[in-house]
Amino acid sequence: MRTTNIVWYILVRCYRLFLSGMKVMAIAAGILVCMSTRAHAQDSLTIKELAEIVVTATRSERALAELPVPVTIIQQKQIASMGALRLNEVLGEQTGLSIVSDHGSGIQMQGFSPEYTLILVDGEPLIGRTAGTLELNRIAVANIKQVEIMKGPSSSLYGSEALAGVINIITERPNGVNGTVTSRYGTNETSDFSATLNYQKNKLGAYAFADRYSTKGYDLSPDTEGSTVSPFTNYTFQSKVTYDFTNRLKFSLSGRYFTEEQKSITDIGTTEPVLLNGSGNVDDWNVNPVVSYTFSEKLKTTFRLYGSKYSTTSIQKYQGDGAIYDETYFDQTFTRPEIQTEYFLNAKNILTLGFGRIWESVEATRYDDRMKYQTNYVYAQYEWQPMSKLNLLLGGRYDDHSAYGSQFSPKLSAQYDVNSWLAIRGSFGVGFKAPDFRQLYLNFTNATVGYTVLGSRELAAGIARLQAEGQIEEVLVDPSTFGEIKAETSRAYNAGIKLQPFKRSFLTVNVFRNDVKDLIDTKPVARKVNQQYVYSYYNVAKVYTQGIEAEATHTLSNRINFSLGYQLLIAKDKQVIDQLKAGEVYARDPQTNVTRRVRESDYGGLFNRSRHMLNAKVFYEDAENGWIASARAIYRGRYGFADTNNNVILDDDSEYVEGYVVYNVSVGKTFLKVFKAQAGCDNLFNYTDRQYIPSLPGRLLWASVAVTLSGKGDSKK
Amino acid sequence: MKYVFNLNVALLFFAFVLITSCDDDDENEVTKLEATATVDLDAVSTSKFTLFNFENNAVVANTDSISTKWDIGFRGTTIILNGGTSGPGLASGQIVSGIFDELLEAPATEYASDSQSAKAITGSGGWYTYTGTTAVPNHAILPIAGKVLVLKTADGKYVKMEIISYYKGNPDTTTSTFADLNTRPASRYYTFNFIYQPDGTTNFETTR
Repeated sequence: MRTTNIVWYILVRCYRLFLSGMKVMAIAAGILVCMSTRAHAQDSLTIKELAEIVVTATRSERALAELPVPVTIIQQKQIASMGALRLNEVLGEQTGLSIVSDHGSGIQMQGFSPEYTLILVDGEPLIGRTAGTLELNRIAVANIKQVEIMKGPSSSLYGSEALAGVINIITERPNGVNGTVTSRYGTNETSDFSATLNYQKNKLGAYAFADRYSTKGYDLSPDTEGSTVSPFTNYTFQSKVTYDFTNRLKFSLSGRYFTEEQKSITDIGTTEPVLLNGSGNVDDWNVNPVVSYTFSEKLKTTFRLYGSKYSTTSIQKYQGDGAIYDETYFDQTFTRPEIQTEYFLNAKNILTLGFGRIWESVEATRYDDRMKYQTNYVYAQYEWQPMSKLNLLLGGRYDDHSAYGSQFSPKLSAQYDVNSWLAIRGSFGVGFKAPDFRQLYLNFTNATVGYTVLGSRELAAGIARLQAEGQIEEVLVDPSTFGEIKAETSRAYNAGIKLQPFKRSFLTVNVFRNDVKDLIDTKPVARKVNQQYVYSYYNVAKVYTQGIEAEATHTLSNRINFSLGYQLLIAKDKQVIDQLKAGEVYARDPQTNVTRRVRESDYGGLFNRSRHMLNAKVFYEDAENGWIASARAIYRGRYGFADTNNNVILDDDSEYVEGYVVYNVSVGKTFLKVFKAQAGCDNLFNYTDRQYIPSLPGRLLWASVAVTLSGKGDSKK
Repeated sequence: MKYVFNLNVALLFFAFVLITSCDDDDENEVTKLEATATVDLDAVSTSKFTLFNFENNAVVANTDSISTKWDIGFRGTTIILNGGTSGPGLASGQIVSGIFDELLEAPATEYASDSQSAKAITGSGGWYTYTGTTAVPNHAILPIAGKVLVLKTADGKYVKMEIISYYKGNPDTTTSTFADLNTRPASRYYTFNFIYQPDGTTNFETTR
């Protein structure tokens, strides 16, 4: 109850603060408009929002304004103005999202780790996660039409992994006849070359994109061997062909290939340096043919086939004699045929039905065999407008998994337009994440330290084998009590408002709460003769995340767009709260050595979550004279890094990383509609923290030039 | 009259109480038990255990290893008790969660002695955590707060003990000096507090 009150109190305060801010802004805007001597064509933002098309929410194109679920759209124009090259740069500046580093840079959404956010390209999932993180640096953004961010569980449409939310990258479609070549160079010898080709005439459209990105990396600790980020080079190729056989029968084929090579030097010596030369490769490809047929105005069917493969190899050799220290490989495949049918009963009732099958496999150094599993699924969605002011979206999906059982994920969303400037909306949904391959099938023994990790499916046999080999000193927990591993599930509640107090001002506020259960954790099963442990996975933790997200935008005279975003986040482990209430958590003062009981109020929640995050951005565009510019400030509040007083939880001030702000600026100018020059600086004030935030490079300066040549073609939306 | 009588009775009773309690003091003096702090006990040897006697708060020579002169032994992170497979004594122990000062009575049951398969006092996850490669400070042995070792000595007396530090000089483990492996103080030095109850009871407050 208390939390709810606080949430409402903050909500009301934010709203009041916003209104007073808006008044000031409105006056300022009025003055500016009066002073402006030039008259501009005034296109209403309402119309603009209506025109914004989203596919993530329903898996079909829908107008954003009519959707009862909050979806954030980042358009190409904004991405280009930022000068962003990779997806992590784009997402890191969005409200409520933060980039977290764990075996790569991944996305944290509503307080969830990266493994709980599904990343899609044109509606199809990207695969290849390391320890749950999908490296966002793998995704080039130059050919992106828009990025759609939908928070809250969407397993009702997308199945596993869509527990925190979905990020859908919508790539460009063939449009006109033109070609663009861009080249960019910046700090750390970071260079990027990309080229796009567009062709659209009559029934045939084709699009091709190629990108080469390379960097020398950087080193925040020059006194030690090796770099913080080692040099790497990657290439991205993407293409799409569309062909309209008739008005009813349409075909598209898209493909993507990504390859990366990285070289590294590591020091594994404890007293004397022992250097290893490492090289790692990542290859990732996918292909996606889609056929759609419109039977009538009311009935449309789409067939999609998606295949993807992700492989990595790595080898580390001693610098001295070239002997192999470690060699690994990892191969993952994903194949999915799917049929989706939309039935438009009338303008107020749309029914969507879909079904499909997923084949997944993984083969790797850490697995005994080639591991496979299948998922059969069916989903249904009903878009219903019972009254002109009320939009409802009901959906559900049933997944039947070959390895861990089945899952039903419903979702209900509603939006009510109170009047022309205020809408309220809310949703309830269930999300899940299936146990992944490592949680089911891992069979890994660390060569240097000697511990063993077994997936839940390997546990009984693995323990028996180790016992037969005489490696087990003591079995701590009967492996049969671990039981069959279940999917991690979340029940989520979202409620919010959309407000347009003035023609050019928008405010959205969303309050969220996620109750997660059966989170998968590891615990020791047995002690080995070498005094190391055998670990396995089991369902245990219950956590919650809750908070408020608010975003305000205001546009001045069509040229200047201000935006402000804020997220309050509280994410805690329910079991820790119970232990704290029972007085069973202790801490030792490092100075006095006195052990004391930790109070519930000292508990800072889950590690790596900032309670406060804020961003302020200004985008400027002068279309007539070809100027673009932007200035963005991104604040990440303090967050827990690791336990230092040895009670596993976050409770002491020394366990936090200080909050910080990163400032990014850019400016660009287009000449003769053909040449574009742009320059910018990321992390203007060179904020670094080599101990706690090695993923944050220092100041990055960059400059780019682009040439676009156009011919005569058809524009197709 | 009645009032005087009552007063007399009360006075008599008071005197009696005084006398009897004085008698108690004379025969069984109750003293409060105070914690003993042992600083930087050297457990550096990789072959021999450093043997320790609680009653004398002193290290026992390794030549006396087959005797009941010692109660507990330290070698690196391994702790042995003089009993079971580790020695000829009666020592056993367990780890109790709680605050050292608040533990006023030793538990009656659940004591284990060292066996072939396991030591009575579990190291990793028992009295300490090994931080591994990812945490800061990394590769550190940190005693878990709120873990009290309740032990029976070689001759069956009760001891409670809290391990404070595994590093020489009991350093602050949250500093960057400690986090840096080059400047971190030497490991395998135990600093601990203990209370030894000589009277054989489970009481950790007072002794007769």
